[in-house]
Amino acid sequence: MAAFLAFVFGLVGAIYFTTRHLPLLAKWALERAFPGATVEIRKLEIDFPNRVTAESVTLKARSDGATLLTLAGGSLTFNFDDLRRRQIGEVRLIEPVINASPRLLEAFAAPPNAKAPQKAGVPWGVRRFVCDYGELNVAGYGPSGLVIRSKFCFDLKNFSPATAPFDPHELTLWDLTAATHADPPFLRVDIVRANFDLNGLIEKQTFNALTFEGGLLLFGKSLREIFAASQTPDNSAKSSPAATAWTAESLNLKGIAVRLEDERPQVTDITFALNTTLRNVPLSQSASSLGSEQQVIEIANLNILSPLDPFTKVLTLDSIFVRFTLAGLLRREIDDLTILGPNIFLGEDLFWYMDDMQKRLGTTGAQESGPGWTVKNLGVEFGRLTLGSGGRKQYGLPLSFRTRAQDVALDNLAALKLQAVLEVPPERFLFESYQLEFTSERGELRFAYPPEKKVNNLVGTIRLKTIRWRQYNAANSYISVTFDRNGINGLFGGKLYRGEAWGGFSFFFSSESPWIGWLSGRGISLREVTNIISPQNFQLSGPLEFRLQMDAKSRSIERVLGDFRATKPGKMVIRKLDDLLARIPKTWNLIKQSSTRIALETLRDFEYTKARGDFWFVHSQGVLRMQLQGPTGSRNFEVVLHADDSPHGRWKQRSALR
Amino acid sequence: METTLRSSLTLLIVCASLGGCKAPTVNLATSDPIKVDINMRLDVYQYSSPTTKKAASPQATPAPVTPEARRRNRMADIQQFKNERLVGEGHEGLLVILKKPEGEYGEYLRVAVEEENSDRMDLMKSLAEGEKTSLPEIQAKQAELWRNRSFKGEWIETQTNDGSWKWVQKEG
Repeated sequence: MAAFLAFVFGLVGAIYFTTRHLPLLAKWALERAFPGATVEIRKLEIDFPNRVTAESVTLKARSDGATLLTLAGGSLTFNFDDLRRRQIGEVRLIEPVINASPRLLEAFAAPPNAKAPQKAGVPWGVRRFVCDYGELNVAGYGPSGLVIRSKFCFDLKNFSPATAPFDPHELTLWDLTAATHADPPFLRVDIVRANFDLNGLIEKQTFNALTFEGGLLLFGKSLREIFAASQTPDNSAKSSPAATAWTAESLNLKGIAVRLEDERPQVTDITFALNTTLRNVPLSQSASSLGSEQQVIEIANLNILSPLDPFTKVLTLDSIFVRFTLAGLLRREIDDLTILGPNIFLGEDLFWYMDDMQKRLGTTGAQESGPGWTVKNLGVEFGRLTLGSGGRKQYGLPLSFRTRAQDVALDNLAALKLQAVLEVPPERFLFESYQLEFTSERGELRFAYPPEKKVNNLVGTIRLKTIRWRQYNAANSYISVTFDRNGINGLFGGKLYRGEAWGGFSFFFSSESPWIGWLSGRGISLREVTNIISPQNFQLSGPLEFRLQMDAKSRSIERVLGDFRATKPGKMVIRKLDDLLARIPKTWNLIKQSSTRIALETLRDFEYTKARGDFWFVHSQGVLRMQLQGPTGSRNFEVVLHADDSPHGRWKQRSALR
Repeated sequence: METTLRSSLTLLIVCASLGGCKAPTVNLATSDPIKVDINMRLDVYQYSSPTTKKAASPQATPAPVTPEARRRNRMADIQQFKNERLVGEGHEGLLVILKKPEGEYGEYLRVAVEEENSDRMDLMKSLAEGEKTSLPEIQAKQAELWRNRSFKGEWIETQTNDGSWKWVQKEG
């Protein structure tokens, strides 16, 4: 009886002691759970029969008293049967606001003055550990004072390291943001799932998986500052041993949009999606691991339009493959940029675009926003050049090009300084509408951007094996093209019918695509040329020297003007007159037949010592004059070509005046 | 008998002497080759279809209705004027008479240039409306284009360093 009474008194005393000193007991229990921390509890109450509620719980580091965690409130539900089995029925955190220090993990570390690891005994378990809604604030993380905010919830069953160490658990966070003190968040994550089991968490300090889904990562000033701070030797060595031990077996990023910010006004940011998985990543090194993981994005069908005419393209890109690392992006480096199928529209709109960008960005913008972008390897394949004529008319110049370049400074298009060699592969080109065909050898187009003063922007010399224009052929030729603000200028030359010819053209950026051209030649075999122009009918011999100029719009030659001369004596034969000779009527008397024959033969054959002429044509009318002088006299021809739709004109009477 | 024999011998000697001489020739050739000078003008008419043959008659041709068509018809005359260095391309996108011939041809030139400039102005006004820019701006651009498209030797008006304009013959 006395023993029973003693037990009852003891129990009552224990209950009394417990209720009177509940905060002390809780403090003692929590400090056993968090050996690296001291615990402060402002208020702790028992709601009989089986509920304990707490307000304002604070964990401080034993080493220096720094606040590791504050908990606004929570409740604990138990029954004696659970307690007997070292188990708590339910721990429920009710809308807790956890203000955690980045050093929170120190709370789990052994106290600094511990001589030997304490024997923990059988750990307590929780049948249900639940929080429907909570808020987590982490401030002052890292040298840049990173602030992390998130909402969270969890519902953990059998949260017991002793009885269910391998049961999977999941902690869910959402609306996670990360920012430095002064700036808006550089990271927003829609949802984060942390999957773990207690064995991995306690024994190996490992998360089974950390998954980040949706959100936005801004690559701008904030991230660059954090990156720069973490690169300093002092800060990189600061991470505590406790922090470095934590790892994630799988770190997954799904659909995180990454936006490359450019602070300059009117510069469009670049956004792309990030999807990647990293394995066995130490959390302290997750940023660097993620940063060194190569990413590939593809941008398709990118069109850059004229600033003055939204229907006129200046550059189109079929596909762009960008290979980079996030760490590289922070350094404004792109590992590899491969551009497939770019089409440069050579026209005044391209220069308008360049001017517009220069004006909008200025020359100081790039310097203010830090170092420029660089591309370690730049590749261009299947490039095409198209002549823009001004306005919206465009004419194909199916001259393909490709190039590779290393360490290209690429801040933005306006600040781009590019000395690229565009390689033109050997190819057969056919311009049916111009009746022009040529076969090129391998060549180069040297492209300088921006165009320097007095230096042409696009310079290239392409050697051509063969050229055919209409029925005329040339060989061993070259064409050199320059491209500037006013248009496209070209020079060409080659071997032509035993002689040589050279010329040039200027294609002006204006509506209706006007262009001019000139052509000269010397040593040209007149016999071969006239055999092509008028086979069997008319033939001249001797070497020819000529010059001609032409003025055209698009495919229509409006004006041609030129002159020519033979540099050595030759012979003219009008074989067409043989037909007339053969048809001299036999009925004529002999004198008439002979005189006609003599006249026709005199006209047919003529050996000349000097031959010269000139011509001009406007559209399909004009004048060709040819003067031949020889020992047997002279032959002066004037051919006036009349167009049926243009019968007017005094020029027909005055053609000899030129 | 002796006299007859002597006469016969003399005749024989004379004949033999004559027989050894060259026969007389009549020279029909000239000391220099005969020179024949031929001047020939060949007019080539192009008819795109039989029905347009009638159009070759100036009286039957209706006046072109668009400035472009009128300019195209006039272009050969303008080229002739340029070949004769009578006109040049001015800095306002118009033709300028630099040397006016006397008489009817001079008047013809004046009228042709006047009509050409009228058509050019119509086209430039249309361009200015289309591009929503001022007429002087279009005129300046067109003048530059005409200068660029001129042939070597043709007169063009170019700007000097002090901003004034002067006439020069285009160099190749």
